[in-house]
Amino acid sequence: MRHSERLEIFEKLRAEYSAFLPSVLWKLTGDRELFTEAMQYTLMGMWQHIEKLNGRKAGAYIYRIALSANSKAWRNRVGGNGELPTSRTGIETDPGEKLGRIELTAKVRKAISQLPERQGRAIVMRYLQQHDYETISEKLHCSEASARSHVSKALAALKDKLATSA
Amino acid sequence: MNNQHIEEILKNIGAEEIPADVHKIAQETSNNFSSSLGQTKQPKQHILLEQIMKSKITKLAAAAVIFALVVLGLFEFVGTGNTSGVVWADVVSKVGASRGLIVRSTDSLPPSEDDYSITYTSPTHCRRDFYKDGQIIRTGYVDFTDSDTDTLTDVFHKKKFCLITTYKKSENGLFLEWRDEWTNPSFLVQSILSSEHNKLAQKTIEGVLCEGIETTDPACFGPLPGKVNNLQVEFRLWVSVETGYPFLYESKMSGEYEGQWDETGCVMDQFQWDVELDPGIFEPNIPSEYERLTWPEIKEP
Repeated sequence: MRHSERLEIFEKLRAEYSAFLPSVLWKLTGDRELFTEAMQYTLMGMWQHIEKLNGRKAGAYIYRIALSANSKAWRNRVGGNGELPTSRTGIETDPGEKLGRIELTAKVRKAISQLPERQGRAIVMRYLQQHDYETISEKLHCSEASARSHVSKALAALKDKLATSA
Repeated sequence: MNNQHIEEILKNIGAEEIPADVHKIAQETSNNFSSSLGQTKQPKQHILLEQIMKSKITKLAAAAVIFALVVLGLFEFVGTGNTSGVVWADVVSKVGASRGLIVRSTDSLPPSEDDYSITYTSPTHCRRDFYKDGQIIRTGYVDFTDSDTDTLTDVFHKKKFCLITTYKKSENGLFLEWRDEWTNPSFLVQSILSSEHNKLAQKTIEGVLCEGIETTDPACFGPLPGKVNNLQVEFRLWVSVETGYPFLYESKMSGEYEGQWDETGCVMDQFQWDVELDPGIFEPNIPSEYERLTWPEIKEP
């Protein structure tokens, strides 16, 4: 594929997903530094796989690229200084509870980044994008029952991961 | 913590609004990345061919041009019975028979992150080390031995990752052409027959007496890989009178290709010809802690 063609597809996708990517990646990271890194990895992934993104499966690929980029950004962060990002303000309560909430939210985000790809997509679609199960099943190309199952398994996996990290 | 608590946290995350400054960060990151694609034709972190080939225009002018100019010289001197210090027919012969070459390249344009690079080339492999402040920041390996594919392994030392890219020769003759130019100087003869060139006066460069030839004729490339507008070239090759090997090569090129203005400048010096290179240097050395990326890597969903 010619460079100009690749650029053309990339620019089209960049515009098309200009709202989706920041929204999902911000909810997944909750931290400006992590977010920037995840954005860069996502754009890099899109460019690397641009040939695959020129079709009807583009959305599914970009989802996967974004989740993979998020996981990578989290791995780098955790591997870097071993600390979770806590820069976000959480629910307004008393200071102790607020701090606990922030830490807990960061742990949940980190745990999402460690989920298997399909479970990760299911949980993001269900809670972060607030899709109903019908939409999730369409996007995952499965039945509604399977979509519910993915979400349920993802919740169980998150619970396990959080229990381990506690 | 039970599922209900987790769901509550997830719902809170889902309900969060994206801060305005995060929107701005996203836009800037996206715009910067897009700009880097337009400027370098490759993302800055994964500059696959940029430094080895720089562009489709430049790749024609790397090592191949040395041969081209040598052959230009051949036609000039052999054709006119010139008996100057450099016997250009011998230069052609020696260059063609060289087992391996080591050369330093310094790019003046476009700006690159490295100060210079050292390239080791054999007829079947190529390795290029990119230096910044005396340290190798990146190493590129190209393996031409497979009959169907060429493999580029790019190791980025600062970011600790490597990118392994495989090109089908049937779909991308980039490396194939490059290699063929190396091993087959006669390939170039046809492409430069109609070009105009000048002989330069003898000159001492770094204590070495040299003879040079120069061309500004874009026709020396022969057929280009695409339509190039306003192509301007200035190639100068200096050959040591004593050794008969190329000693210094200077190139400047500019042109518009695929709607993109491209301007390059390069100096190649510190040539070491006919070197017996250890095959081991062409084996990609990837530290175990480096992340490995392959392209293409995504499987069908």
